[in-house]
Amino acid sequence: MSHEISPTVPADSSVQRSMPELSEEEAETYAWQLDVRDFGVAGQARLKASSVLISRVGGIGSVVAYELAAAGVGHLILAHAGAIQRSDLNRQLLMTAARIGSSRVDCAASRLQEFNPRLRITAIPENVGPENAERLVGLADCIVDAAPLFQERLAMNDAAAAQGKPVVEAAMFELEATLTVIHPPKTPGFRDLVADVPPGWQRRFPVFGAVSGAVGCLAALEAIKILSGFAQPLYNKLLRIDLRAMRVETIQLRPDCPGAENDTGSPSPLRR
Amino acid sequence: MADSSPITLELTGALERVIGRSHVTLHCSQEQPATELFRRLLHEYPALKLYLGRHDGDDSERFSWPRGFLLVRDSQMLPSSPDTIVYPGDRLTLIQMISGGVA
Repeated sequence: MSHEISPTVPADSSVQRSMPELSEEEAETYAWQLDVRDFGVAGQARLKASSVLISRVGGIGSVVAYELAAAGVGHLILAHAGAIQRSDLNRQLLMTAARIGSSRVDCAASRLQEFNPRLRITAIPENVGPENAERLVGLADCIVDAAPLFQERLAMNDAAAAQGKPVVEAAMFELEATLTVIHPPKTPGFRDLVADVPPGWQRRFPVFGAVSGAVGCLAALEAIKILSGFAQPLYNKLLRIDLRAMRVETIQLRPDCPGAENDTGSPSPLRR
Repeated sequence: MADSSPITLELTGALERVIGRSHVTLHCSQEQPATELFRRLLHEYPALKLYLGRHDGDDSERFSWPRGFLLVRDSQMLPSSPDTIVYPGDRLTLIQMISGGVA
């Protein structure tokens, strides 16, 4: 069961789309980012025409959703099961204390809609799994994976690979985070990096909201770069962030993948 | 790389938390498969078996590659393969790919 708020653009990413015009209100709202080099009105129009699936709007995903709503992505599909718990509130910035016990994804959708009334939101009170991954991935041009379970990530990446869609992979633990983009063949497949589920894995882990917020902002920027087709997404590279020591390392993944060839910019996956 | 230099292995995320150290050193007198390094790591730090061991608990002869972790040398991912070789003096990192692991 899902519900929609404020439909404004078609969701089917397989449909040939012409880029939408920006309204005066949108031009004013995004005036500061329209001046970003290589982005401009064309990049903004691509964002407006694009859709992003965010798997879980928790610590990382809530910040991803907020930043994509701010940037002017046209359609967000939010997938997250369950009700708000008090222990969510150190990091899940779209949740509120007043709504503890109510649906996470509904709270996130209402906060985002308040922030950006033009945004189309599909709120799905489910976590991504093998039974729904194909359907949910099919709704979006790009996926941001912020799930804490291997099974969710594997199912979503399998569906994304089958549909040829890019996945921004963001993860954290304590004061560490990793970020990469999975989009074969210019990157390894997720199963090339994570073949199977490790034994003994636990969903709960120590983290500050500032850490999930930091990696969430970076993940949102990767989605913006991919969708608008500018700058250099982390194709075939993994960003490792150690916020305890304030170290950042870019790790080359497979040398036989052509991801590095995209260093001068990459085309948007939107058909036009 | 000089012979008999230990291999330094940096542990991240849940692995670091489990053993309470960010770096371990493992004796290495000659080049060897990375899988042998992992086998010795689990022998010296059995608490890591929960995350790096096999589902069936057998890490002796058939142990292969840690699931969900990348092995990195000089900012390059090493292939998750039994053919991957490590050398005396190597400085390696095991990087956790997914949120979670241990509370």
